[in-house]
Amino acid sequence: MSVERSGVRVGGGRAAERTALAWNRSALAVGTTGGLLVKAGADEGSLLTGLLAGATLLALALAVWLYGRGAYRRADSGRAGLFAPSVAHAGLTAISVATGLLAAVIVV
Amino acid sequence: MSSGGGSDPLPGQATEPRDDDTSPGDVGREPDPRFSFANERTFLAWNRTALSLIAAGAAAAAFLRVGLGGARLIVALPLILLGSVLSFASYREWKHNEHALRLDRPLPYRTRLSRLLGWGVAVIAVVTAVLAVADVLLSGAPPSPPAAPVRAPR
Repeated sequence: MSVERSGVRVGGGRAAERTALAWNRSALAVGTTGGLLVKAGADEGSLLTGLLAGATLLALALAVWLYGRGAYRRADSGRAGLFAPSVAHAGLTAISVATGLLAAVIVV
Repeated sequence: MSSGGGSDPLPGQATEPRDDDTSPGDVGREPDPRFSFANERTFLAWNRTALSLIAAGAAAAAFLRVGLGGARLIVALPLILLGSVLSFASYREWKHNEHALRLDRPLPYRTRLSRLLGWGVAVIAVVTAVLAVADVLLSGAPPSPPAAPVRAPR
């Protein structure tokens, strides 16, 4: 995971680590939103929907964390990842949009 | 993936993105990883902002207690909608930027996301403030804070 630019070999280095940490924070945000949906579901009288949404989001948070962790290790070793970045980014976007839809359903 | 009538690019030559459905990995050449990582982190930061807005909407629905009927939804639903739109928009922005990086083009200077977030949050804040004032006016004076204990003089 390095390129030649102006004769200097540039690796992922700390940039990869910062990116892994950013994935980590994103996983925490997904998990926290899941917990909040459980609470919102319980308050709005749709506990089952809230529990399902929360459990799904917690599982997805674990997947996001694992992807970020793997991405950092891949950057270090130069191996190809399980998913292309565009697939991972599209997946995270889909998770966020689906979370929004679920939250809207629970709230209404 | 060859376009009709156009010549194939030479090895190492940057290729044009054909449409928005093109995967960033299909065009141009591998950019400096630091730039790719920075672009990825920007996408992740926008995505977390979007998730925070959705969470704020859910929290408003769960914790906001107002007398006005439907006021909770007026606050919660726009926040959730704004978060969902912002999440999708941030993905498109990441894709645009990745295309530009791979084609050695200057990054497109877009302020759409910032503008969307800024105006969205401002409008929701104003609506929330109006609702809060209306709720206080319609339901009477706000509850006064508990009085401090008075010590008896010795």
